[in-house]
Amino acid sequence: MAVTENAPTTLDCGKTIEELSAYLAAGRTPPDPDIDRCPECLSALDGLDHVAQLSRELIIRDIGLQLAPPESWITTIITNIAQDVRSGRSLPLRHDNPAVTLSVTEGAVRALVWSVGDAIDGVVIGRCRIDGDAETLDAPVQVTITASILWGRSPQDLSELLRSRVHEALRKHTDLLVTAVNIVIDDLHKASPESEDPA
Amino acid sequence: MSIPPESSSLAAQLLAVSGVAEIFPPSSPIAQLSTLAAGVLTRSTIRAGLVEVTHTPGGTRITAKIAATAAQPARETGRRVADALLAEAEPGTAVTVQIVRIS
Amino acid sequence: MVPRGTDETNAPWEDVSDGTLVARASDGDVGAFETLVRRHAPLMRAYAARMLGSVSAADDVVQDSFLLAWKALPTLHDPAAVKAWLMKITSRQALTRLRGRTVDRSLPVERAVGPETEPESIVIRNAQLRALASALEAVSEDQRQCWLLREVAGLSYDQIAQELCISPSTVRGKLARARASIYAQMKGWR
Repeated sequence: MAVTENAPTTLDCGKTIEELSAYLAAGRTPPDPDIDRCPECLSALDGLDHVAQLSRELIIRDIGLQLAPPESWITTIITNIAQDVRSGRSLPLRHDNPAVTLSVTEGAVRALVWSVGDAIDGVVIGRCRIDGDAETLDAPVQVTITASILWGRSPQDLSELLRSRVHEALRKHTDLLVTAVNIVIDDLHKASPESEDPA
Repeated sequence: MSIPPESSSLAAQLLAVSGVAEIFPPSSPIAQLSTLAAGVLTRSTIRAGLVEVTHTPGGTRITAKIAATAAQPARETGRRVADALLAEAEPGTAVTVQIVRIS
Repeated sequence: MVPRGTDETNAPWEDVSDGTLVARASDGDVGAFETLVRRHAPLMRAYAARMLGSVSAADDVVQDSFLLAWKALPTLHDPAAVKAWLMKITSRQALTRLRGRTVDRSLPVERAVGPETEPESIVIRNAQLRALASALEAVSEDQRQCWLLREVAGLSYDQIAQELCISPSTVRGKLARARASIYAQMKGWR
């Protein structure tokens, strides 16, 4: 297949396709009356515009035609990233014996908070931040959580439910002194037909 | 490298503690032997399978990383695990328990 | 590792927006990241295949891109724009792979097969898209790269200039030549 370095197409009026392409890409500004009044140029611009539309479709069609990768391709990615430790700080737990160092990782507490949100229908937690000197026993901390809620649900009701359940879970499992659990609803989602079906 | 029976039995005992779901290997499981110029052993860490037992001139340290079940308060499970290790260890042993998952 | 239990989350990941998925994945949730992978891999693979001229090379590049993305995810300033960010990573990985190597381009040949009952407009459209694909394969390597970086990855002229180590005006010129060449080929003016 020949490699076409330069398209030598010059219209009868003297303009090159390359010039017209640049004109189109610039949004036809500043306006060039020679082009805008020339039927041959306008026809070529229409053609170029049509190709631009096709260009947007090309990759969409590619996606439709491509074969899905084997599941192992996905598994390789997941296995590799799971090696990466995101355990965060060590949050101390109380024990009377000074020879004992007892702690729970920040990562474990975050995952706990996620599961509290996952258990509430209509809530998906995004970020979970623990602010304060969490590595010191009895230091006050605040927990800030962002969440996406199901369209149509009451943000106030779900916030309240999430807040109280998170407080409860942290009280049950950790020795954190949680002075506040801040809930920020920053996203909405809609249920797709598949996810509405009971498992 | 064989796992010392001491730490195998520790691991088995920990799994029997109420609230323990799983034990994870310590994050740096490589056995190290370092010596001073005089050739005296200053530190040895035996890869103890799931429960790590480290001997230093200052004393022994036992370390365990666990997953706790969500059904019971994880902090109480942690305390029970620490107590179980203390019960098996010689006096003066330092015990470290870290909960890496609650589920 | 962040240990995963046997009780997987029942979060409705497919319904959730990119922004929330990124927030959760940035904090370490592998399930959220896997959803991002499944959601954006198709575009990244199709794009990488056209850049590299090979489906298997594309799959390698996209896999590497996701591994890089996981590590860099906490640095993403606009979580909702993760798709463009992933395309930028893919671009860089593909260009790195192409640099200084003669690549055998061997994309699967598209054939004009479709159900006989397909409406004529679809048949014509598909034929035009195949012509576009052929025309794209026929332009020079650097013109094709500019075209793909602009048309598919959506990079700005400045960003393309940065990736290719050329000036933005050179980018503009190559793009205009690529588009003109494609147009000419499709019109049969070769």
